[in-house]
Amino acid sequence: MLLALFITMSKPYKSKTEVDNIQVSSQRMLKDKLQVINIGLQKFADDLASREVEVVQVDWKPPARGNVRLANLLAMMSDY
Amino acid sequence: MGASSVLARIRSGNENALARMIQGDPILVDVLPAGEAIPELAERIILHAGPPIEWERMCGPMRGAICGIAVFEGWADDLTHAANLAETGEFQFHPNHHFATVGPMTGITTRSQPVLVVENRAFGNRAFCTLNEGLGKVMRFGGNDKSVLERLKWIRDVLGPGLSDALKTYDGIPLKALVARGLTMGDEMHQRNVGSSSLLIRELAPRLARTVRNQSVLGDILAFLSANDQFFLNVAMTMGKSIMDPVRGIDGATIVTAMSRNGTDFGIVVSGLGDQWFTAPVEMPVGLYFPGFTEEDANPDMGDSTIVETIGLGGFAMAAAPAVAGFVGAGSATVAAKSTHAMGQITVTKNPEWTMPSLDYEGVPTGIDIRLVVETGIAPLINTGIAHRNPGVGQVGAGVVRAPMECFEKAVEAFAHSMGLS
Repeated sequence: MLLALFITMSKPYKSKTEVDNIQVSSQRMLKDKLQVINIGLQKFADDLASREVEVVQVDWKPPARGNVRLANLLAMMSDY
Repeated sequence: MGASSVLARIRSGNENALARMIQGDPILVDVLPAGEAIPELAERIILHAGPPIEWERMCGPMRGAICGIAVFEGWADDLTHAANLAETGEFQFHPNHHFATVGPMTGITTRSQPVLVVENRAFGNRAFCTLNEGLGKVMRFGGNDKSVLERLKWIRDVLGPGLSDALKTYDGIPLKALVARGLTMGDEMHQRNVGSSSLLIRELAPRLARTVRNQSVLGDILAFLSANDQFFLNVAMTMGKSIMDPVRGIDGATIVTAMSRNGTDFGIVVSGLGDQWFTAPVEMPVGLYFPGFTEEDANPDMGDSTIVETIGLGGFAMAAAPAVAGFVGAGSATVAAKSTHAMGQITVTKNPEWTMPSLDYEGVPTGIDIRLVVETGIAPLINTGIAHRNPGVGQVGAGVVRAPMECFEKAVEAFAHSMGLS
């Protein structure tokens, strides 16, 4: 299981009301320049970059490659 | 056992393990016949690279090297006779690692071969490794023809005794400082040893000039050393083994003390789990091939040389050697730096004595922690030579390979069990 999250930010926000208004935000997101933080699959970031979208890639994988048993064992043996 | 006491035991074990790694003081003191350095190495005992393996499961180059060494030692009349003796159980096979020894690629070690002797003066232990034969058709890559055996005889009869006499004229060569300088000269001590080999030859040459009486022999020795950029690899490996052996068997330590492969299996050993091997099928290197060869010719990954990655060099110090990153097909200097930083995510400290100029003198990532490898899913990166899959051919390229994650997952399971966790 690999997760790809896109976090979009439209800027600049002028007020909290504006931020809270999902409809307005969505409209702005589609209209304004996108800045994307992509978590997980590099391919998504590459595709966005190839379309000249500003994107920051965050390397992330599920702990222990998604093996829940190993992840639980590690949780009992780790303090980092 | 409660969670807090488990963590305290691990913390204490790893602190002890890391202190021992950093405190190691490896000195190159001698070159001796293996049978003298390792008294248990009797007739017809053959040490090999990697975890334990029997003849039936050995890869082509490993078999080729064994047949060659059996002829070299006088145990077989020819290669066919040697193979028959191996098949009928006439030889005993053991891992180098079980005898304080390491060997590159096939890693074949037998009693009459000369071995480097490195003494870890902080703890009093010694480690051993055969001398580097050069590149191309050589025994460590499975070569076994007349030229290979003739070179081994010269190494046994001329080079080994010559180096031994030279080394006996002083109190050994401290290796930590030499490696530190080598890192600043663009070496990572696995696939690139140009600077370190030069520094070593600079130490040895005046001594050789004083101890080797025959000018022609002296010329041959100096020419052999000077023509072999990888001569220091075996020294670095011996050093690595001498540093890691005192780290074995520390209660609670999750630090890897050995990574090694025999061309069939990859194995790791973990400090807190004694001398047990955790194995998985070995992977294929990805790299560049000599003209006329392709990945179709390649044998899976092989050799004890991963002891250099275990101490933070090789693939872990890729940033120090941008030239080699391209040679092994790993990419640009930027990618080399990223590789080293990735290895920083699976190690617990940085070695303050071995630093990399290209990373603002950051220390090499040191102390592979099985917990971090499994947690992050980042497998250790290894720089390696590539042998032909058939016996007798030799080296066909160089590249990079990953340690199989399965080894570390098995080790984490076993470690948790040893802590009473399930």
